[in-house]
Amino acid sequence: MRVEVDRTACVGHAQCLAICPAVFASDELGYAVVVGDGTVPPEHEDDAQEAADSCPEQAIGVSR
Amino acid sequence: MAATDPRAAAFDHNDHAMRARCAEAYAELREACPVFHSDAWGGFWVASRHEDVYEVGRDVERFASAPGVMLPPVGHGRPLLPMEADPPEHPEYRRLLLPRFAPNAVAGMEGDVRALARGLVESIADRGEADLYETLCKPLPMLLITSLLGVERDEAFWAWTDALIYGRVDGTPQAAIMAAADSLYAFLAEQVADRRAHPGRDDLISLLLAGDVEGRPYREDEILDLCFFLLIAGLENTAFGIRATLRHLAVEPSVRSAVLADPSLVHNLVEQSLRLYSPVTALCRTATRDTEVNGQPISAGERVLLLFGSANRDPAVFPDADEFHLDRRDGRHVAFGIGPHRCVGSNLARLEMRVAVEETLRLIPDFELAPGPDPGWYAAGRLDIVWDVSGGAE
Repeated sequence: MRVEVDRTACVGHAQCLAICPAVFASDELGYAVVVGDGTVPPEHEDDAQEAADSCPEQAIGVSR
Repeated sequence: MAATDPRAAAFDHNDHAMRARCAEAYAELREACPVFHSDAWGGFWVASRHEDVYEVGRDVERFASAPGVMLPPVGHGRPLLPMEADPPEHPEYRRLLLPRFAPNAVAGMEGDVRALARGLVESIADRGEADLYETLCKPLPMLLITSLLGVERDEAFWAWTDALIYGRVDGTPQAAIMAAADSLYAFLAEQVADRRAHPGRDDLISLLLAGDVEGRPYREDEILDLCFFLLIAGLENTAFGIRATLRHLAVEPSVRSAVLADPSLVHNLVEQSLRLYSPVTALCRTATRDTEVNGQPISAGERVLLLFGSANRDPAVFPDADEFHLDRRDGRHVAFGIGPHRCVGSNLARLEMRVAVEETLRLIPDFELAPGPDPGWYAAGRLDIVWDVSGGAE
């Protein structure tokens, strides 16, 4: 499972960080970035999916 | 119900009687006339479905906020920043504030929030009865935001804020509202002057002094408007959210037992409370050009109300939407709004709600509403509860 953040859609609500801090982080301006190359460790897949579903801007893409 | 139905024409999101039966009222609107016109408050359109609230809230080109988002407006003649701003200023205000309210920054405040909440609950724990609104729900956000702003706590804040928030719908004379706003602005101007004289502090007012809009330093009026809204934005709404959550625990013993048995459920408890008892029922936008929403033509200059409370009960997004689901997060709720204007302080509000519940349950695990009519979730005010203090400490 991989995730990516659409930087043109993210406005910095940071809900993904709150739900799944193992996969998402914030840059110096408070916008979301993925940790590493966006590959999700198996034990964090449920939380990463929850973060994507919960993104207010639907700015997180998920691929499997 | 047709779009011309008198019930739609008379719709007022501030009406407590409507909010008390909002499950039925919102369902009628979503199904029969999802985008309808109300004649209240000078006339406005209402978007009641989640998909329409989502569309309007995210499109800041078609739907502006600078003309005002409160219906009715506070009426003090100043913008509530950053909420009532549009690009290019709006993202610049947010850029400064976002890091201070990001999850990791807010997580660092948990110890302070918990100490405040614990102190408030400890002060009532042996009484056996209390009004949780006055003893916990109201003081916790006040203590916190005054700490963040670096100002001394002042009971006058509540009088001013009550006049500004409730006065506009409960008939408080306009002169009293203006007097409250003037008092608050005068207080904040003193604080800003103090920070300029003593730079380098870590509070939010000091932070604003460093702000810029595309290289231009904030004007004095921008700093004051930002201070003003930072102070009042998290007071009444957070108190409302804490109160609604604690009331739910008082009237639903099974939910309280479940959270006591599995404390991790407090996260879902907070989210479901936000979804079903959304403190901010609605905010509006103003169309910047002739457009349409869900097929309904909207003319340039007309207002569109985003009915968050209804969107959060939309069964198209939330199955069994009017039920409290302790096993669900329902992260797509729009209790904090949606789009670029979504609440900057949402993580802090959630923290306050969660910690208020945790500290209450720690010392008062078993409580119920005091005898008398249920005060309901939909209006701020007293929340009298009773509990047994005869058992002695273990």
